[in-house]
Amino acid sequence: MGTIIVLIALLFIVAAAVRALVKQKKSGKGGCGCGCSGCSGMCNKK
Amino acid sequence: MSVTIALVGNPNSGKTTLFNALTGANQFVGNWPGVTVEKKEGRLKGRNDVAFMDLPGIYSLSPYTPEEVVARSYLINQRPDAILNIVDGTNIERNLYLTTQIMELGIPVVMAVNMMDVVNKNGDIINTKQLEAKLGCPVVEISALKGTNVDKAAEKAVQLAKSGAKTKPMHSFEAKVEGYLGEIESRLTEVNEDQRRFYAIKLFERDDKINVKTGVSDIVERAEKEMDDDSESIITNQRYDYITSIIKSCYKKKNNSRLSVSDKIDRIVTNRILALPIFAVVMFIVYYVSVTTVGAFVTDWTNDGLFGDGWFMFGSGREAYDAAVEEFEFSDSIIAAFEGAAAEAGVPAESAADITVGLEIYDDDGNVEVTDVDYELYMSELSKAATEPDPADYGPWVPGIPVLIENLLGVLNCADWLSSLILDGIVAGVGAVLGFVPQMLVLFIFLAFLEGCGYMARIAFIMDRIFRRFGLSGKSFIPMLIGSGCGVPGIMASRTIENERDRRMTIMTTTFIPCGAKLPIIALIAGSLFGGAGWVGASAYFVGALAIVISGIILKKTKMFEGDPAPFVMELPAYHLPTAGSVLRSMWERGWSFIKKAGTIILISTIFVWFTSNYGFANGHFGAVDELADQSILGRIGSAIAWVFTPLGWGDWRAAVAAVTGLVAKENVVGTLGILYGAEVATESGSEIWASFKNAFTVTGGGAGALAAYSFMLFNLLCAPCFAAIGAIRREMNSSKWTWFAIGYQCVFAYFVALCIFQIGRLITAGVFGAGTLAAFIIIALVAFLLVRPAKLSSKPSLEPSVN
Repeated sequence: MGTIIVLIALLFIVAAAVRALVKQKKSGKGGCGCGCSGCSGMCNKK
Repeated sequence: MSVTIALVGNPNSGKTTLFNALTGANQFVGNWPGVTVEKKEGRLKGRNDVAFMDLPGIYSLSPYTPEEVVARSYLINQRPDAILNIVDGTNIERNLYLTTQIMELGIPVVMAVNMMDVVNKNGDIINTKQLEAKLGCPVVEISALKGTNVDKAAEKAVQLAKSGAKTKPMHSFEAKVEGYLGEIESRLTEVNEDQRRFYAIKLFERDDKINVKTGVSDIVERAEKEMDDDSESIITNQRYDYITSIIKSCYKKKNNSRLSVSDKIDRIVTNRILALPIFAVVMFIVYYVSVTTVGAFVTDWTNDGLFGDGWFMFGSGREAYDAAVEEFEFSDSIIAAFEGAAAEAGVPAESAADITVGLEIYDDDGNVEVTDVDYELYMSELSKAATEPDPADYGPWVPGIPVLIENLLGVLNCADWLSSLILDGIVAGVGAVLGFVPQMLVLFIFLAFLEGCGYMARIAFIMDRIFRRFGLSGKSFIPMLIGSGCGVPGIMASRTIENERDRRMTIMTTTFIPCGAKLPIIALIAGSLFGGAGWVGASAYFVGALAIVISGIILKKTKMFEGDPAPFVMELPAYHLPTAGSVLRSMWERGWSFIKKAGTIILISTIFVWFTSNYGFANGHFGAVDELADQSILGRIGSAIAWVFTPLGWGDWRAAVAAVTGLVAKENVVGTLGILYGAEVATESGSEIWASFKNAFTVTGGGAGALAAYSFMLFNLLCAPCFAAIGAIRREMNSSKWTWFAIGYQCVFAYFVALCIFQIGRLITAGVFGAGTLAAFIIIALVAFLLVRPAKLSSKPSLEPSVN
């Protein structure tokens, strides 16, 4: 039972991480995992 | 009624500072051109009906740079309800050129004269009433940094926007020019009346970016013939005459002849001889404090305490506990070694009187000592019946995160494989990266200070003087400066370079400068093999700059990149003390980005690395490989490619794999090493990942562990960047062929540098000469030839700085 709880928690964390990356990529940001605030206003826009 | 107000002004006039003050949004504030390329929108604090648009800093509404085109396009096509023109009060003459142009747009204008705190401090006087009369628009004195009168300026702009009152420019050109402009205006029947004057002037200047099809070249030709000058110069000269008349009546400088404080500092900082040594000293101090002293002190706590076994509150009890642990582990190692040897011999340990085994013990620095363990020693240690000391018995003890998680997993009765994934994979990998956060934060404070005070802008000027000798331009250095934070915006900043060949070359070499993600690699190598020496970090930047210069010289002599360097003009802003708030905000933004990355990409990568390093095909079936790590999936892949790196001194599958995982994110190099070297190596005071890491490099380096590690560091700093940066290269190059060429060039260059450093270094320190050494000499000879062979380019002298 403990294994299942931990596994579910881990899957939740990983899913949240993947979702954050995909969301960032879709909004046209760097897709590099970090926020854009340190990027001097440069961003991946055409 | 909702209104939109555009913030327009020269670079470094304080637009973004004002934008932050008015909207409460956090924008990055730097001191070199091109820091805000995009348009940014925000709402006035407490007023949802008022929007501000922060446009890129521009010197004029001419169509020469992307920033000017973006700003001009917005002003003409979107037509905000008002313009808040921010003017640098300490450099009002230059700023007024743009003002005279925006007054012609037919949009209500309020001028905000910024940096009045500095103007007053200098003793200069600006007659704002006279300025209002001369320009024909309201003028408000502000200090965006101190927040003085910013609300007043905003309110004035809002009032003007809502009233719809038009600003009538007071400036008129001389009668002849006005006559020609009138003729042009009469032909612009399809243009809005408010904008006709602006379009007429632009058409007169032969502005080819103006989207109006009306033919006026006959009028312009007549004007040029009559006035014996080209039309653009006619307009420009008359604008400056008008500005001169304004300055005479509205501005009184206290000390015309005396040098400002910035000028005096720049006499030293940008001096031909002193500039580079000063830069070297500054970077050395930055890294010495960040990596060696302050940062290292805190990072030791995060690595060994927070992400380790734990720490003693206030440090009390540490010495006694360490001594007890050392004694226990020594005893435990002796017992384990003897019993292992007895088991191998097939003899019970209690009766193995003839067995003696050599026990290797590693100290904290990774040095090995061999102790002979015989039966007598074994029985002596066994009789002590020592138990593992409990740190809580020696003082107030706070367990580290891994211990807490391990206890929790034990309570939940979690399966071994899942516990291993969490502890040996995720916590080891992510923890290894997060352990460097304190050093990163200290470093970010320094970098934010250097950017905020204006010193970083000087570096671009200093490098232009040097770059120009080699056919490059300081304009190429600005992306590299930005790239020292992150390679992605650095690569994208190359858009400001008009020359296509220079732009491609800049894109290819920008990532040679270490970015923030590579800092943990530098800190790891410096800490584990060089005793935290500050010169390791500083040398990484200099090797990067040298790589850029060498690449520039070599590539400029090829057909693909030959050509004269582009002219470089930049404004050096006055030095000023950045506010603690802006420095800390910059530090926090970068630090938080670093932490967020650890929680996303690094987290996912560590799971992948853990799985592929613990599972594989062994003994004919797929499963956990436990002790046979080199037979795991990752081990087999690493072993297959490790031989490539043998000449570089680190032909170990773990180092090879770590370098490859660095393509996902450079921090992964440290995270991967943390997982793969996490297998215990007994030391005098317990398992030490980094001692194990150092030992591995000592072995692969043939005894030259430090050289091998330095070679490993340089390879990872210079080789292909992370996937995000590669993606940026692909977008900016707009060509798969050029992208592959760039990656190939970076990898080959990195390989050659690492090879030469290791092979030549080993020849000097240990007198070892082999095939690798010969290859290194051949490479050096080849590079020397490529550097000195004749080229077709001509060097032009660099421009002197324009200092405020």
